[in-house]
Order: sequence, then structure tokens, then C-alpha cells
Amino acid sequence: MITIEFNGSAENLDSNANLLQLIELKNLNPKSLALVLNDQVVPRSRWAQIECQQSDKIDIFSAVAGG
Amino acid sequence: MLSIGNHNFESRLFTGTGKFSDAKTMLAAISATESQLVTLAMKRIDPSKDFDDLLTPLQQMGVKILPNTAGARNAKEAVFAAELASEMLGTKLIKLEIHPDPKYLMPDAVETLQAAETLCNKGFTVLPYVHADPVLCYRLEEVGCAAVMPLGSPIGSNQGLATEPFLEIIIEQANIPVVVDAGIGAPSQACRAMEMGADAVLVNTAIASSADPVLMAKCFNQAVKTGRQAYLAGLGNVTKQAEHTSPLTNFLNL
Repeated sequence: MITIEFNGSAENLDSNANLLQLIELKNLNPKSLALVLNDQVVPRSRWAQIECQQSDKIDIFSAVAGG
Repeated sequence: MLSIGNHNFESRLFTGTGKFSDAKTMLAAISATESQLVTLAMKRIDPSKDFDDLLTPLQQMGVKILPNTAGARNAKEAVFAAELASEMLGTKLIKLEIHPDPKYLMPDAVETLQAAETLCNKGFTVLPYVHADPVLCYRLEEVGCAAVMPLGSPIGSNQGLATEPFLEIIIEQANIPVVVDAGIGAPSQACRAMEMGADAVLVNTAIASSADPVLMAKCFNQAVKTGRQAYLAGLGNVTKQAEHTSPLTNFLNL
């Protein structure tokens, strides 16, 4: 078990989970999101290849209404 | 046909998606505008709350998405927001907006120019939101921006074209499209901007805050088309003195 910071909140996670599995675990639609790992935007194509690490800071962004 | 970067638009009315009472009204209004370019913002999601998926229905309507960098307070944050948007939406189009002052939302010229240069070098199609400053617009063109978006008046204020004399200079001098953004509060003001020779206008609050957003959207659609046609037809000269339009027959001295 590892602890990560997910959108500002501490969360426990299986130690082998990758970024795509994390998105699926959260019931989020991966098509309309962007993922930021430790302040770096991670391309969607790499989500399944990157395992979450202890103390990782992960933020998920979506498109919202705006002018 | 309006070209910005390698994107072509038949409609010269761009639309923002903010401030509508609900997503259904927003989508109906966007449809009524016949806009082909629609803005969205980026936000970190709150995992404890459901969020509306606006992207899918907009994409189904066939509009192009123009993500903005709203919320960015400096060039570094704006570049980050643009990269985020590009990854999320698969587009290099970006409306660059940096306005750290929450009261008047005035765009920061220095940070905007810096970010514009960086983003142009990274291959983005940059549309910067700026004050109606002809010199700044020229500098933004020099660093490779695809268009400039000078403001008519403060964002969401519905004050109209307070900057009109400066917009005229920008339109006269720019070799890239000029999109008048922010403050347009009535269809007549959008029409005026187009009559002056603006290439497009971006409207949000005036539609979203109307009592009947869908009807107002139709009005803006008509106004922008009319203004564009009037510009193409060519406005007549403005003179101080009257110039008679009828023969001045002297009926009383027959």
C-alpha cells in the first residue's frame, strides 16, 4: 500500500496501480481528462505505463464552461 | 471564409460557454448562434462531486473547441494550462488569457507577450486576449500569434465597444485576424464591430445572461452576419454638413 495526493486529498492505493487504473478506479471517463503527475502533464498514451509511487501528487483536470 | 492558423470558419461569431443557467440552455444557445468555435476553460475536478461533461455534446455538434487559459496569473501558468488543454482536447488552438486582477480582469500585457512567444515556438495556434493596444497587437503578431483578441470593455460587463477608436487602429494595422472579445453586450455592438472590419467577435455573457438566451443567440447570429455584409458593402462617408438626397425643387416660386 502507498499513499498519494489525489486532487489535493491523501489517498491509499495498491502499490502496483498505474495511472490508467487509478482513473478507472475513480470512475472517470479517460477521454475528456488531462492528468498531471508531480506538476508535469502526462500524455494519455503513457498512463498505462506509469505506476503510482509513494507521495506522488496527481491532479485530474477536465474542461468546464468558460468564456 | 475566415482562416485562423490552418482552421477555416464560415461563422464569424465565436461563443463562450460560461454563465448559462444549465448545460441544456447553453447547448441550445450555441446551436442557435451557428458558431463553429466555442470556448471552454480547464478546471481541476472535485472527486466528491459529479461534473457535467460539456465536451462530448459540443463535439457532437461539430464545433471546434477553443480552450482558454483562464485562471493563469502569469506566463508560466498560462503555458502549463495550454499544454494541459492540448493534451486533454487534442488541439493546438489556445485562447491565451492572463488576468491576475479579479476586479477588472485586465489582461497582463507583459506576461501575455511572453507566454505567446513561448506557445508559438511550441507550435500552438495562439489567440491572445489583450487590451485594445495597437502596439501590443503588433508585437503579438510579430511573435507569431494566429489572431489577436482585443477587448471592447471589461469581461462580462456588457459595456460594449468602449475601446472603439483603438479597435479601429488595430483593425487597420493587423495582418492577422482581429477578434473583438469581451464586453460586447448587445447585438448592435457586435454588428458595429463587424461593420468596422473586425474579422470576428466572441460573445458569452450577453447571450448567457439574457432572459431568453436562445433568442438572443439568434439575434447575435443575425447581427454579426449583417455587420460583416455592411463592411463588405462599404459604409458611406460621414460628413458634418447635410447633403441632400432629393432634388431641391423650389415649389413656392413656380
